[in-house]
Amino acid sequence: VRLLRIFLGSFVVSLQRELAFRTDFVVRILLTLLTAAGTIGTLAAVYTRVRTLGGWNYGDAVIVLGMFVMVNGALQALVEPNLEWFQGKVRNGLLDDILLKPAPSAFLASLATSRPFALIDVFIGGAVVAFGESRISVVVSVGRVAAAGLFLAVGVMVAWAIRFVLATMAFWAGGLELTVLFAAPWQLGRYPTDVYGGRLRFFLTYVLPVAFVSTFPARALSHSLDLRTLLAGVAMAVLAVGVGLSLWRAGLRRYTSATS
Amino acid sequence: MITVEYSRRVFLNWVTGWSWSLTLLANGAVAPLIGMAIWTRATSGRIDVVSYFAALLVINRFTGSNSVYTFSGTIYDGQLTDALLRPHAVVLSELGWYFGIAVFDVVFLVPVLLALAVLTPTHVGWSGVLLAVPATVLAAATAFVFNFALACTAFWTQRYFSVADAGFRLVFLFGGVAAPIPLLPTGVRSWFDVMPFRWMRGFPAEIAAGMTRGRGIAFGFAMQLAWLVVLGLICRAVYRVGIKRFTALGG
Repeated sequence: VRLLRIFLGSFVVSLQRELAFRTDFVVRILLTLLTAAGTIGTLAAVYTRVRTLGGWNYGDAVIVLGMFVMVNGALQALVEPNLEWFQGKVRNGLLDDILLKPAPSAFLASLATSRPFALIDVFIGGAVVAFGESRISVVVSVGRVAAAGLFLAVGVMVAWAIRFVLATMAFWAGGLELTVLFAAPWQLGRYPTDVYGGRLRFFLTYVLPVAFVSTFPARALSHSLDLRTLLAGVAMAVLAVGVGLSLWRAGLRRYTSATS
Repeated sequence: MITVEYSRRVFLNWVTGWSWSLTLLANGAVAPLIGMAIWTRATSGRIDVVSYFAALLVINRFTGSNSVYTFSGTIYDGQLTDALLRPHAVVLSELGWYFGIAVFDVVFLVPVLLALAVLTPTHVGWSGVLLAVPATVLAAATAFVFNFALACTAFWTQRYFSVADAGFRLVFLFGGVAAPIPLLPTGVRSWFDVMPFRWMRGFPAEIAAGMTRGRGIAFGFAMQLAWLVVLGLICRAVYRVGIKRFTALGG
């Protein structure tokens, strides 16, 4: 409850700060709408040439895209403002400020600041999912929606964990700027991972598990999904969060303020 | 000479911070590789599609520009004052940024190209390369003035995030990175022809891959020249109006 209060307090402060940049806000909404429409259009162009891609038809692929836009929106709004240029914070000793505050450092390092307007992407992603759902023949039941919602929560946790783990690498490899490198493979989540080849699909499921972010939630909604996969997803989320927190603690032991 | 000196400095900076530079290089390669994976599958492994994205991977590096970050930054923090006091045009240092990074990219793109030639069924003919080179030069020039004009919006705004993002996304969606424009349905394609983005990104790759031939190439060169003139004039006008608003720090 205390963490939630801190989170909400910082969210309100961030919102007030964002409201000072109204042009940025308007351009951002227009861009997100344009990108969503453009990417749906690109998918439509791909599907003028094939009926299915890696076993996914057009409506299914649009749902995957919508799920990705939702999780990406949450990540960009709540996590990214904290972890971008994290390597510089470690090198310059700016983590001291976080470590001296009376709240869990992992929480403050990854969730204390936000970019509330990016949450618009979550709603636009939801609209894209609804559009994709209207293009599939499967009847979407309450059970499927609940399973997809659970997987979406798993996706958000996994996304946070991936991003957090990459940020903690700054304690060991200060020269590598993994923030930018992360953005590239992350974009692979826009398409169903079945579209990619065998090794890449394995990598995107077990090593950098972006499959949990968009493909599995979409599969829960449009395909049948067994209980075992659902449990595997929850286990993956718990494991990913656990790995993230363990690496953070190990990294902090190496941190010696500035020039660490 | 001034631009050469700026380029040398940027190149050396880029080499010194090689891990960051290579990260950017790798990051820029992902969009064409995703496009290659999706479109090769959708077209049952067409060689010209593979070649298109391989060429795009290279062309992407020369048709981008950091102006939105570098030049906008100097407007926000007032450092543009320093550039204005120097006895040469402000744009020369931006050109220095561009060429410095381009030279760095050439050095590191050679092994990438060799890997692509070995690992993928890429086929690019000499005539395609000879025509793609001037098309890439025109595309890079058009992209530079477009990005510089976007950077000048910093005279009126307080943040460049969304403006920088706008430039990136427009070129990605309408320039031929998300989808090769010759593969789009005919009705849609004409919309892409009248916008500038195809001519500053995908067109040279189309020539290299043999997707666009004959009259299509002549039409493309004409469109590139036309957009270069139009965007160049817009860029100059935006800069001239904007610079009058600049009031050093916080301008």
